[in-house]
Amino acid sequence: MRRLEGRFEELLKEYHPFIKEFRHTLYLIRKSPLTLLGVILFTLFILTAIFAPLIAPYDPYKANLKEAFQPPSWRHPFGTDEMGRDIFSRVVWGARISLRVGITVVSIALCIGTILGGIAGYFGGLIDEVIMRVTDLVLAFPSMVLALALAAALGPGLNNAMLAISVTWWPWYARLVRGQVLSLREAGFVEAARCIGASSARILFRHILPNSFGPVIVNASLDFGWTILTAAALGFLGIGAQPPKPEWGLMINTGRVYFLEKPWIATFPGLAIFLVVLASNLIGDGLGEILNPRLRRR
Amino acid sequence: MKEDILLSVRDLRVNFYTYEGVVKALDGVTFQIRRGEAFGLVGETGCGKSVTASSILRLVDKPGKIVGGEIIFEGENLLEKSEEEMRKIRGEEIAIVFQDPMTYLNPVLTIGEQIAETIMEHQDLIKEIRKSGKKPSKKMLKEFVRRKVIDVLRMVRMPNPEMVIDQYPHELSGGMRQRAMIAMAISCRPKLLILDEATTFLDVTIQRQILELVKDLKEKLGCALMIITHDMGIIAEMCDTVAVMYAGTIVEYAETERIFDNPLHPYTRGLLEAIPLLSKERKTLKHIPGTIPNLINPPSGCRFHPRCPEAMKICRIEKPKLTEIEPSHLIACHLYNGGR
Repeated sequence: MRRLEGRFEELLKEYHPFIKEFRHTLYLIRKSPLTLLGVILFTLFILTAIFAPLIAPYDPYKANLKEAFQPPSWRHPFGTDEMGRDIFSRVVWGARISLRVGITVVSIALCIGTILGGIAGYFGGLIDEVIMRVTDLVLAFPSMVLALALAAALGPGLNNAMLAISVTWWPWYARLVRGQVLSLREAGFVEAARCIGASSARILFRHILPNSFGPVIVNASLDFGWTILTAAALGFLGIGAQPPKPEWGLMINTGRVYFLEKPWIATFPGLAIFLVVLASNLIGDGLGEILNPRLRRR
Repeated sequence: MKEDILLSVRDLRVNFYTYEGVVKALDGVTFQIRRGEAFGLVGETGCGKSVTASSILRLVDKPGKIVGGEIIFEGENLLEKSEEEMRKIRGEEIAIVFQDPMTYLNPVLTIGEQIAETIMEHQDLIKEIRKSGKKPSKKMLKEFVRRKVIDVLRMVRMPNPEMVIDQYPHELSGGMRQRAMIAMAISCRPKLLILDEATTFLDVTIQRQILELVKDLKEKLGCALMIITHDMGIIAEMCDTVAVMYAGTIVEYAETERIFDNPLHPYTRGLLEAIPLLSKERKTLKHIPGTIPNLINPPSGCRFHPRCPEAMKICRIEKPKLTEIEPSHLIACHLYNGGR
């Protein structure tokens, strides 16, 4: 037991700088109330997604026609839909789908965009020209239309919808990163890195890209909400997730028909989308300042 | 005597191909640096001092190109080396310290990480650990590098090296940043350390400390120094030999004392007369009339002749060659080359 304690203290000592940084981050978040609100909402969203089976009181898929169209009550906090399914349970399970969409799409777009944008900006010339013209090509379409067309061509389904959205999303990152790289390429520390004999790959991935991450991460956290919104829109239009999946956009679509008499069916999933997008935007705005190493210690 | 020479630059020519025309930034630069010597390169802004430094590392940027001459380092011509071989030389054999440490340090990496990078790039640490009879592990390597970095920081007399190693550049003062830059440069014990206006951005007291430090390091590491500056005071303080540069050419090259005691080239004389002296009574500061010529269309013959108080007919026609007029005192001026 004593030995274990010693080990623990050693570990604590080794990770002390990280803990210090983390504490400082928490302090910075606490200082701006809107960011704090965003973080709280977002944490709730993630916790909901993780613990969905524990939180949801009913099976989100189980129809119970006897209980169809129940207004919100103690038994069904958000009411029930046309098949008698508990909307609260469905919204809770829907958080899982949305979280998956957000993480997948943003990370695919971020990876492709960062690598292509980085290469285009760093090497310039013909490579730059080719990559950026492809980017322009994708950006020339309104992203919703392109995502719709792709998702429709690939066939309905959540995975295809995610793929379609990723394809329309990476060019934004490619542009953002390229712009960053172009300005950082001339920075003194890049020249210094060349002077100590660092290779091109090393300069690009260790010196330039980490320096360009600030705006990229801010953009990613803003996009997290937007991709969820887009996926919901595709679901609403019937080419995203398919019934009976408890996807929020899809739920709004089914609730749309009954909206005047039974507004709760569409309202609660809509509220969920609203809150998640809001949270992601608030965090995105706050993150811009928190992540900047030059503004951190002031 | 000959084998004492560490770096020999001969007739180096660098052009910049710009939209307005070809800029002949270096037009036949020649000088030598002996092992362990402190060599100074002085001249006005834009005369090609920094281009000379980046040419030695072969890092002249895009519109610029080395078009002629040779750079012999340790008996080998650097201009014939492959990019891969050059990468090995940069940082390990020849290191450089720039003038503005804030822009030359990466803001998102800690001081320790940046110094470690140089060490890891050039030294086979795993082999070294094996030699000491221990089995190399990731954790050991980390500790080993950390120890090395702290050693280097101690060498540059960084206060609190154990703390600074985990700090970011913006947390340090200007002098400490410059110490960190020097630490990066000397971490692999280079044979030649280039200081490109390394103290220009610092205030005078810090400048003094940094110069003292560089002097000590030179003694300790036995490396040669190439000090690029426009401050004659620094040259007088630090250098054994000096080359005076004007508009892309070396106009005078000699031991420091000789240059200060007996400047021969009209430009050097002008430079020295332009230093304000506290001891003498106040008079208007002398200056060299005119400005640096446009290097796209440089003056014919000697590039200094439009500003030269002693210009002759031949100066307009023929470019003077750098010739030895007395032992180890070289001058490119028709006044001394039998022009009379």
